[in-house]
Amino acid sequence: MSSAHLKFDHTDEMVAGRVKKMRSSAVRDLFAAATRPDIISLSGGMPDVRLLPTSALQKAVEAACGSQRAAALQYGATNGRVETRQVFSGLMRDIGVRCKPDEILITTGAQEALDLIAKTFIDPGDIILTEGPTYLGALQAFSAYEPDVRCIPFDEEGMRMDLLEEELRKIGKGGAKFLYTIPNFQNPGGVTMVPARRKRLLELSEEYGFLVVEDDPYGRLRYDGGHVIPLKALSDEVVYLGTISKIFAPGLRTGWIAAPKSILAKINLVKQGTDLCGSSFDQVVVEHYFTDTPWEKTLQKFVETYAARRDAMLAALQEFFPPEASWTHPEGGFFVWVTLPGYVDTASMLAVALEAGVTYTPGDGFYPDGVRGKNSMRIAFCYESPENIREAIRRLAVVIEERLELYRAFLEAGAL
Amino acid sequence: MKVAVLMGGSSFEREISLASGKRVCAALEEAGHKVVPLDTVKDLVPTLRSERPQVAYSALHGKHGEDGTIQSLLEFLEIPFVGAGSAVCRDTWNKAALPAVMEAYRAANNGEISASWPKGVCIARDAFKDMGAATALDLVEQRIPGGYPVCVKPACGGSAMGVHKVESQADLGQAILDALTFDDEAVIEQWVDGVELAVSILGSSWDAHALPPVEIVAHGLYDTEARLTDGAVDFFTPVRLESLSDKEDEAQAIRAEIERAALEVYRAYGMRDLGRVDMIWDGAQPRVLEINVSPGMTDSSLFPAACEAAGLSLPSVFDQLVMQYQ
Repeated sequence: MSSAHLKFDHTDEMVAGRVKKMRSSAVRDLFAAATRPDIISLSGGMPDVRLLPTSALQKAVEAACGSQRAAALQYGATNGRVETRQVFSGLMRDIGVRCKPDEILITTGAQEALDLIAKTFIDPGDIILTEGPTYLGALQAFSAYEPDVRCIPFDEEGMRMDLLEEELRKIGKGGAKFLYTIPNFQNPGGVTMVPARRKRLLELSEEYGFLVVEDDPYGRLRYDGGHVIPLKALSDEVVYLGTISKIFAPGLRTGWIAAPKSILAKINLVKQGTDLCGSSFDQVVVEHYFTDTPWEKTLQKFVETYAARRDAMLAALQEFFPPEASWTHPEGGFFVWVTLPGYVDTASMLAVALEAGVTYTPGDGFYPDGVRGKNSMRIAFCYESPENIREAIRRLAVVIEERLELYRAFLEAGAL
Repeated sequence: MKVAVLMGGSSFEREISLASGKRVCAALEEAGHKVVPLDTVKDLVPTLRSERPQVAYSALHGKHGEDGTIQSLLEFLEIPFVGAGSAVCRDTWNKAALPAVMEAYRAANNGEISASWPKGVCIARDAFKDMGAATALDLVEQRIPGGYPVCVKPACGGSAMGVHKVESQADLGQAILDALTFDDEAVIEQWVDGVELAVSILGSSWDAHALPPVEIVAHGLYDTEARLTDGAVDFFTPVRLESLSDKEDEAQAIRAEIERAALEVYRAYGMRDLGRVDMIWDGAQPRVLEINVSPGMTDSSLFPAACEAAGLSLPSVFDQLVMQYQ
């Protein structure tokens, strides 16, 4: 049968209302999925797992297939293997957080943690606070539970506490359920919340009675500057989300929630109904990777590689992008957030960029309303080589330049 | 009959088109026709040639569906199709052409017509980019009767994308730039306040008749977001008489005038089979905004609502539309 023939999906009518609302990014997905070989993709946030040493992987997997196979192939506890939780407790100690294994619950990637938290805490219409823009996967996870998401803008020093306070005054005490933040090398912004703002955030959380959810996938991928103490190290009340996706491999869907026991008990109950338990096999592999292999050396290789790619991107932006564009200067992580003059619609520009052989993620997807961020884009430096990144930025600059010609005509005429 | 229903496409309105197409297919099947639903992808033409439908219906919206592209292709393939022909679509697609089409119609009718339309100008992207048109935006206040607020919109395109209400010259440049994101020409015209209406029409030429007008009440602007957001808009079919006048007789007369104006536009363009005219009753006259050759057919669309209000079932409407091409 020819592909012009259409077969209707008769389950369309059966789909719950909340799922219907989740479809608006179809066009974006289409572009993101474009796989023409000459296209350089700056759209995905994929860690470069090609850098992982084969010997270390083999060692970790062998344990799961050999000595540990009985446990690795069996159901596990809902909160995860105690041995794996001990590993994560150790990883947290490294960054300054004291957290016992029984204060940790293992999840299927940090993405499941987002869903579990939303499922546990959000009723339709509940107010939650996030950075604006924020991680679109978090928005997707939250949206299924129909919250009222309020976005707080950030600058190079992270979430603007003055604007958060302004919003909290409007909402009132007890008005917001939780605040979701990625304080280190934020996705998509690339910015890091400075210590003074972290302190202020925790003061506000106490004053206004909302939970703080700290998502920290990129914290160990720092290329400049010194370590900033996590929110969780400053307050036991913080719900911390960790993941091995960026420091090991996202294919092993393993993340964790570190939270007060009272909160973990509620989440544990919810997780039982979701998937009973995470993958024991993945947990065993992760456990052995972080105990039996020189993982810190590998992490250093990740950091050096990503740092070179970030440098290549920032240098190319400086060289090729027009003066009307501005962008963030991440000290770590995967992303740079670019802002263009208000007139440029990056979603409609993506079709032109694709023709020019480059993709990025349009900014509107990082807001719950899909309207703000129209003149922004997220570009990722994590996966492509420095040479490819330079070429991609050069191509993108040509596309933007064409759009800006018209903008400049208005500007020169004093019509803006 | 064997009917090809074309839908999907690559425009922004793809999802709406698929929903429209699905509903049209269901209506035609219920009326006993053999329906072939087709997406407009690269092998559409070979598929049409091998399927050999007796008639086609295009449920495509937006670019390629309403600008004459699909219509001229069907004409070339000699496949009869429901709805306006390619030449008509090319005219209706560009909103800036409406005044000229209507002026010609008025002249042919000795100046006696009900329809009126907002006065405006249309300026091309290149005039701004290469000829300094942006330096003349101070003239807008004089050129557009009544001055601000004005409406700025792309000359071509649907779903109110890039449409702005501009209150002063300070915001004009930005609005034009946004409109030019969607098309190469921007229309700047009088802003019209009043009762927002959609009049669906069935038939051709002098046999065309208007279905009950739908009144659209948006909570805020009836813009793209409002059109895509559940609950952002209320529809009343037929239009509530109290929205038109306090006096019932007068309201009935106004409704008749609205329907007359819609039919004038339909005939002025040389439309056939079906269409929808969007307008605003400004308290004194019906002001036509645009005409659609491929009205939405989804569960929340205006055309099916009008059919229902007229006591017509969608299967019977589509049965008649295709049977005339037997």
